[in-house]
Amino acid sequence: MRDKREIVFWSSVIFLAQILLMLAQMTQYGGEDLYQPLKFLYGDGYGRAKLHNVEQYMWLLELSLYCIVTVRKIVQYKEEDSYMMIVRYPDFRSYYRAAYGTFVKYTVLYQIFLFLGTLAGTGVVRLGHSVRGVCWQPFLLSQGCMFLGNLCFGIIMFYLILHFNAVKLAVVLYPGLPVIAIVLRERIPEAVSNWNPGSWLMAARSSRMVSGGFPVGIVFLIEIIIFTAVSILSVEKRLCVPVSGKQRHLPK
Amino acid sequence: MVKVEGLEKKFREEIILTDVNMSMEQGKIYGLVGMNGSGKTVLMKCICGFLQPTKGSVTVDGKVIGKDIDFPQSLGLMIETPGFIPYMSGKSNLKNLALIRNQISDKEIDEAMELVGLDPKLKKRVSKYSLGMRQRLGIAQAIMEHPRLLILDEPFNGLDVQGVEDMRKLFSRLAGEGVMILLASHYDEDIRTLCEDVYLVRDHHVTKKEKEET
Repeated sequence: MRDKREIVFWSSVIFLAQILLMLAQMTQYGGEDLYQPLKFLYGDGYGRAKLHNVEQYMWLLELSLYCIVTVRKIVQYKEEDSYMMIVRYPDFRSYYRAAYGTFVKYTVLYQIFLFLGTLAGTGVVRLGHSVRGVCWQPFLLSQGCMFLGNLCFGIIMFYLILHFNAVKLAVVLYPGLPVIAIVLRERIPEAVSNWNPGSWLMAARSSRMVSGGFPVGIVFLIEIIIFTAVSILSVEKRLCVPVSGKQRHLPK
Repeated sequence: MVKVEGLEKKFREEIILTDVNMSMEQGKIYGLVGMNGSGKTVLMKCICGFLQPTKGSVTVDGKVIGKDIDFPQSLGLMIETPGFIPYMSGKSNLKNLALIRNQISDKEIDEAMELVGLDPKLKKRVSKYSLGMRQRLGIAQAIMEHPRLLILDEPFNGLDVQGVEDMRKLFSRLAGEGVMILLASHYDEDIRTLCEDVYLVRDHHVTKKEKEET
């Protein structure tokens, strides 16, 4: 029951935050044409567009929400805090699979509510403007970039937390890299910034939206490969000596 | 039956335990004593399967830990600080754990909590529990699924006098029902009154001691 209440709470937060993000971007651009939602969101040349503070903060909030929602759950499976839980599984593999299932469930839920919030936000924005139509391709591309990016970052975070107990490193990785991509994009050449996986979360940075953007098909393939490989490593093999085996603290 | 044969454990080059040999049977309570840092918890983790011995083996009911099975089946465990979910109540935490195997009912969870002196109806979050209450909850989760092997690391920490007495009676009763209990404690009285055999961990070795020597 508690789990359901948590899901409802965080889903609502994600949903509302995404609506606010859409509205924040509208505010910046003073009600321009919404024919293509992403064109509206980022302007013709994303790399050159000014990123206003409101949009930055909203993106940071959205990324942080994913981190909060998934890391909170993954950390509950951290071995050194979970001895009494682990021994209830038939073996380590079952335990890691259970943790993995939780991670995938929360990543998918996050994406669903992000998608719904984007739809609702687009609808709210359209109510206030004359809109000829919505172009679905960039919209779906944006959702695809977020989903695959979150899966890729998320599984690496999962692996770091569960097998290396490296919660801080995981959180630096995400939302760290996306934050660098957002905040420093005006100061770093686009060609360099596109190598930052944090940029891969944003469809507007892709070659489908701007020239010189990251090649979206190749990036999707890389993310799927990383996700698959790290998933297998996470679940099928107990690669690391548990934290209790490393002298992070004196044994009793 | 638990057998530890020729067990050695090193962390990098530091030897924690060496040439450990133990044999434990069902229906008995075994004590593990030693100074802080002597390796008691390391030994317990090796028996449970959380640490792989550098040499030697641990066998439980004929199965080698880390080879035939990852951990002993039917194990109840309380090692270090139990990692309960702090924003949930005690009962909710136990229900979460019980769902993994799905072998016991709500009533049995209630019984386990009452056995350790906790009120199953208490809605208080675990983050608000005292140390003694958390310790009791830790024991409750270890016993609630009727394990055949109980490993408890300093179970009396934080308990009041009555609590200690109640737990001693509980462990004696469980041993009478055929449960093998291995408990680590700093308190001589616990060892003297409860344990039939005592193992002393000192200078990286584990030796069987007469109770009077502890």
